[in-house]
Amino acid sequence: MKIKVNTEAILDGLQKVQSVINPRNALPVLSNVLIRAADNKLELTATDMDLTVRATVPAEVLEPGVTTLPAKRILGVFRELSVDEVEMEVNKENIAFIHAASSYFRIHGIPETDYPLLPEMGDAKRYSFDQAAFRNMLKLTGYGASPDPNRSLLHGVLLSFKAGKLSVVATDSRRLALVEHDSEFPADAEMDMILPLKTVEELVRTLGESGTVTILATQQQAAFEFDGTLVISKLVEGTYPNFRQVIPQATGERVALERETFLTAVRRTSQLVSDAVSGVKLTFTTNRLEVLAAATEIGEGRETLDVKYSGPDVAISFNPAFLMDPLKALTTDEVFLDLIDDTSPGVIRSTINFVYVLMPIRVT
Amino acid sequence: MSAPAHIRVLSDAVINQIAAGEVVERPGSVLKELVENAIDAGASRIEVEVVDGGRRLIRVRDDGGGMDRDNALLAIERHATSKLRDLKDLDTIGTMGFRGEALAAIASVSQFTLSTNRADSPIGTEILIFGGKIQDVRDAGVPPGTEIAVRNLFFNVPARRKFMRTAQTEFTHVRQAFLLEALANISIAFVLRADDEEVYHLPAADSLLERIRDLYGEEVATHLRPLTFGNGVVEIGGFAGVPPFSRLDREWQVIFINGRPAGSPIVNYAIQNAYRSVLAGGRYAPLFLCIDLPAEMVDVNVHPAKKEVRFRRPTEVRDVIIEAIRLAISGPDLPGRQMPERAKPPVAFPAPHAPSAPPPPSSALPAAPPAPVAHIQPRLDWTPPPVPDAPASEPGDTPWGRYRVLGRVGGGVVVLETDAGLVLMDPRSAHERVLYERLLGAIEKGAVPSQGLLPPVTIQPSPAQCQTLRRHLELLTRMGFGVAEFGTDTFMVDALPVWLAEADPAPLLSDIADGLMQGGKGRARDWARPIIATIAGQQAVGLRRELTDAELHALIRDLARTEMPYTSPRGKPTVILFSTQELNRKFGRD
Repeated sequence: MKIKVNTEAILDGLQKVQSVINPRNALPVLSNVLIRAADNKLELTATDMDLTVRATVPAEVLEPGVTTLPAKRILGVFRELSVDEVEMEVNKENIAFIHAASSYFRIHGIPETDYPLLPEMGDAKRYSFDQAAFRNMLKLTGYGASPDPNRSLLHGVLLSFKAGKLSVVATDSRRLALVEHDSEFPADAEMDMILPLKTVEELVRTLGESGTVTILATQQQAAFEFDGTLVISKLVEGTYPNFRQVIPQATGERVALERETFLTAVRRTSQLVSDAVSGVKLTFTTNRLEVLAAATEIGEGRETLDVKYSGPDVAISFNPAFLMDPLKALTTDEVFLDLIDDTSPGVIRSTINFVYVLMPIRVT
Repeated sequence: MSAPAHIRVLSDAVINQIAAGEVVERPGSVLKELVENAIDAGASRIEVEVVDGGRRLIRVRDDGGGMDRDNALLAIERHATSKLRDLKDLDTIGTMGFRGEALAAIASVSQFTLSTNRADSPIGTEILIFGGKIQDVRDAGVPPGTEIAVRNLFFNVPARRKFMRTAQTEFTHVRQAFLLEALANISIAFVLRADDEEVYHLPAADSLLERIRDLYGEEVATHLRPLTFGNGVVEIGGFAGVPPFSRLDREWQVIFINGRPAGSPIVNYAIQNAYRSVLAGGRYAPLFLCIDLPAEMVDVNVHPAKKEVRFRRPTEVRDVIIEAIRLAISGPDLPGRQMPERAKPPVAFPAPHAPSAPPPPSSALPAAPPAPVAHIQPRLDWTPPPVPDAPASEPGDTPWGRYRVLGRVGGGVVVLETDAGLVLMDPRSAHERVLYERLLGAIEKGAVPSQGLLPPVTIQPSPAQCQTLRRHLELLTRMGFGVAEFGTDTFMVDALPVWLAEADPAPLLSDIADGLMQGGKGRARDWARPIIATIAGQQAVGLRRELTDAELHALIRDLARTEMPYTSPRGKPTVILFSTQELNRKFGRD
């Protein structure tokens, strides 16, 4: 194999794939990136066996071939090179020689035959979606998933293609984020899939701002194709909890809030409770919202906002981080907070099709 | 049934050798018997000398009453000898108790010399015995008192001689026996000499603490705190060490039950339990535990050498010990707490909040933040722990009333200067301690906020767990759980304590049910302690980043208010103190 490639381009490709690599994996070959040169392009592939990412980089292929090279090492080498174009040759013993201006590197690789086979997608259902919109849906929900890998179902994000729309849902059993978007797909392509959180984070990192993403899904895995990048992920097995039943149907009082103002108020006062043991208390009185965080012996933070509110007085406490998460992820100017009473869940909605259900904290 | 054909009466010598097997195990047990003899003789000073770990010589000399020739001969013969002719003689032997037998036993397996004299007699007696046979009884010039020398122990019993260990090991046992006797008899002066070197020279002491100081040194003594607790039946005295001062073996732990060195598994369990949340596993604080209880409550006849006892009401003894140690090591005014004294005027540091305060003396660390105000109300990230139930102390009256942050070293270790000297603090361990006590306090007050669950989950624990959960619903509610019965052996969980809200409810409640079952009738906070320590540890894991100055001061202040500021709940030290005296000593300054 012999190639000439633009340094920026190969760096970009390597950076896309290398985040998948598990630094503590048992198989040395999994620390390597699979490089395939043919048809004037380079295919770079990395995997942790559950999640695989492949990026394509244009290159001048002087001699086609395939090998695997240690990802961290070659990334480091390319990052430090100060030339625009690099020449790389890999011999039959999988030793790579990199020439760039006055620099010369020799790096030992592992034969491609040791690399695991990429999963076959087989008979997959197919969906297409606007890349930017899809990315935004993942961003609006992903923070709601449980960070605990032991809670397999909740450590993932549900993509539900049903009734002509895509619903994306994440919950950690204390709050739930749901966003929906119309989508065209044939009726027999209705399905639920649970993406592991790591896949969601990888997608949010690599998805672009324009163009479409093609989603291929079987019962076991899903593939996402966009901009010459391919992400293949195992799906979490199991049935996601029925998320619709936790969205309160009854609407009590609705308050419109300026998102930025509300976020700032919560962030400022919550400086007093950043260990998350106590909540922030929201007290609504006529046309007034008081945000209060107090801790015995530390003191308190209090902030009052003018709001349009005419319902009965209500006070409710929330985990401030949970309250701020959707406010940070949303970009609309206004959000709506629906409250029933101090023990029922609060619901944040937005002008887009977004619902966030948050259980309050109560002090016995 | 007929008797066996030949029964032979054993000779005295053989009987004595058999008895020796029971009483005389090794030089250490010889020493114990001889010293106890001396104590019974009313000695005010006992000198012990051993050579070669006691294998070649054990000599015990006392200044007690001494014996006349007849009594001396009686002492080394078994009571069934011709010397015991009538009951009047028994009275004479009485003072010796069964130890008369012990002396005979020792004499039967060694080269034995007894020299004794009464204060009112001009000439004393010397008796030489060789393997149980009296070689000579003669007059000798002997000062008042008794001296017994035991040479070449087991010289005539090769099987036992083989089982003696190296001189060093045997000396360890000799020393241990000596220590126990010295601790149990503080009004007697003791000397221990080994191979012509003086190991201990203990003047008669007025208090146990004084004796401990003479035996174990100043450092151990300053880390002790008196044990004074009882329930009217079981009374605990002695001294307990304040963590984290400890070592990896039980060398510093001595237990006396009704004045005699003894032990019992339940006592060890109680000690371990009392220290569990303040000492790392496998570490032992110094402990001189005196348990006094009515004789009928303790059975001493469990172990032939009476080293182990059994209690009639073990749980009661256990609870009293745990409470006694906890009270001792958690109270204010710890002697080990060498932080600035409360009453001293703040002279060591310029009052940092005074506007006219000069800048801190040229600090070697340029990055050091400006002198902090110990009692500022900064933007805090931790709620301070509830003030413990300890006797009220004046507000602001913390051991760290005055300190100055000098900087940080080695991965976030904080360096402080205090009146007492240099203090290194590990913020993580410190934070664990603060969180731990706060969570405990919140549970006791029933003020744990609950995070609601979305949606509520139903769990189906095992029948035994269900029974336990059912019995403790009220406690669980106080801890911040929203748990209710929901049909047969099914519970609905609709809320978790906020600091446990990340957990999966089913395994969590199963663990807690198991903890409750094991905890038995103990108080809720006892079974909850390990769980809470784990939680505090998990929460403090988040503390990887460097603290802001305000957070640091809040942490120091919070830590100072905890019951047990010197260790994390999992027993790691939170602070290490290098006292000014220690620094001066190390630098060889006066």
